[in-house]
Amino acid sequence: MARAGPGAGERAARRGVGPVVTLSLLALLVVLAAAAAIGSVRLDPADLVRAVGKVVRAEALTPLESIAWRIRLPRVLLAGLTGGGLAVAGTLFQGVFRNPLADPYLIGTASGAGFGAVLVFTLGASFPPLALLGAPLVAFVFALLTVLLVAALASDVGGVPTVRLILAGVVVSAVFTAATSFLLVAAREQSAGILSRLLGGFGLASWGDVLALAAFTAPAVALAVALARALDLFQLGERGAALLGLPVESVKLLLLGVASLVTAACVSVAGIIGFVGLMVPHAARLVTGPAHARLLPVAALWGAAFMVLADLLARTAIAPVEVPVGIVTALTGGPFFLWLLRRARQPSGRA
Amino acid sequence: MGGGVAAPAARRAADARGRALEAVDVAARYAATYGNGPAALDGVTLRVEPGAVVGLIGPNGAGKSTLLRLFTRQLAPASGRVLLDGRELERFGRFELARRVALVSQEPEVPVGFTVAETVAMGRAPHVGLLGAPGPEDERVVAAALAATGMLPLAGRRVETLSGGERQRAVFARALAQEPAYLLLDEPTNHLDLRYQVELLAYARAQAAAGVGVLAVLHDLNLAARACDRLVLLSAGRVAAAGPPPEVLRPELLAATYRAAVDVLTSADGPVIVPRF
Repeated sequence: MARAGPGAGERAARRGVGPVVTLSLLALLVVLAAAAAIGSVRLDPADLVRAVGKVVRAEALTPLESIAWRIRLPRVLLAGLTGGGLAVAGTLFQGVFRNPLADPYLIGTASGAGFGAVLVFTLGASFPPLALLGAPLVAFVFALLTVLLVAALASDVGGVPTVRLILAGVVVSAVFTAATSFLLVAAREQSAGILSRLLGGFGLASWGDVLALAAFTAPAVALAVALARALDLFQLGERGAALLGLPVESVKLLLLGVASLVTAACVSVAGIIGFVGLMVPHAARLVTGPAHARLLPVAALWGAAFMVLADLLARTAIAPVEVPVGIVTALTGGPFFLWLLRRARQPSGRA
Repeated sequence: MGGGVAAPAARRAADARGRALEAVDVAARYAATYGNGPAALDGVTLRVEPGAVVGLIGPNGAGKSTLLRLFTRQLAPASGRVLLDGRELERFGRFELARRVALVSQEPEVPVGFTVAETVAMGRAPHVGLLGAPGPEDERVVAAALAATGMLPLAGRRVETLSGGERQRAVFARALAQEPAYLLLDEPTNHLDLRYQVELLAYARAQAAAGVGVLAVLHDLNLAARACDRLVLLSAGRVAAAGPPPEVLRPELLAATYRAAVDVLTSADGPVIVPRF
């Protein structure tokens, strides 16, 4: 019986990933509704539905419905989009670099994007072309530059070793953070507002932010899913992938570009939030296995749910004071990172 | 080609109408930074026809792996030509080439977390394309590749949990899933015990019997003598001898190439090489 044994069971579990996506989607909807209802003013989920209905019919909102529509819904949706985006970006970085510790925050992409965004916020007024390009695009350019720089610094013959990638990321990240601080100090009166934005949070979420982030991340995620099989081939090593005919360099640039774009868009609207892109793909991989066609959608959904919950915790834990959500993700992600680092010392995939 | 000064090897290749993977008078050079890399090649001509098992032997650094790199376009020849069924290798598309030539590398990376079936299915990439999805035909080929290597019972196992011999079989199965016309093996029996060595070369011979051209880099001369129809002995980047095993495995030739004294005994199944101390 060739199909007997644990192998067959594992295969069956993996084929049935459709239910995982469905369940994750349902869970995300519940989380979104619950998080939108909970806050300094408690709302009924019915208020949310009524508010949406009234906006569609262009009717006047009650104060509660107004809170639901203008504050809570954009906030939870923006958190969801950011969490999903960062999880996808993390999955792509981990896949391309074949490195379990890759994450938009740890390899410096987020700091690069942050620098780009702050560049626009501080110098946009005096240098119009910057403002015209907009924070997300300039952030994207710097995010991509950062990841290419880090990859070039860290790459060794035949791959990108785990620890070197993180070291290069930390150093490049420190440089960009210093440059960002310089811009903030130079900007003086504006700096407080920009800094709070950079620290990470969804307190200022608007429907404009939601739409802007969705416009960047949705096509990027779709492209990533379309290239999922190519990303699988990267797990054979770049040489192994090339032997199967994959145009390795172009696909790599495309995937890193997609991950950088998503990171930049997230940083532009929500600031620098660490570790989500690290933790979520690992958790999702436990359920879906490593094949990216299944992993990417599940990671996106879980990332969204995780960020919505982290933001809920951030704004309710010591209310009325709001904790930056980056603190919540760092407190959960830091220990996770250390655990992964220990695990990475064990024999890896090299045959 | 033409011209009275064409090398005899080049003329032979031009005359040959048959299908083959061939190197014609090639030289290969590595950049200076690769000081410790494989040796360069100089004027090497070699031909693998469909259905043949050709063994590539020679001391370390003779250029065996370099030749495989030329045949898989990981390296471009400095001069000379590399032809696949009469057409220059560089004129093939990436996926097109990977549908015709498959390499079982010496120490392939194992895609952690993937099952054997998933890993073997990656060999369908050149047929499926960049954005395509595998269909029933791809599944059939993957199942056949698993069956041909005895890996069906292990299809659901994660590759990193396999033993060395099982891994090598999985990698071999992936190469078969490419449905190549030419199969290149880079020291496929390295690190394997006797059973897996014989088994792997038996799989290769079965492929040759089905019309695939096999080129295998082998260290073990006795294994090479038994498994190959023809041997090519490389020495310092040049072909020192080529032909049926008894013609190539001659004591004086081996002693000169390997700088080690050997006795060559004759058995009913061909030469047997015994090192002399």
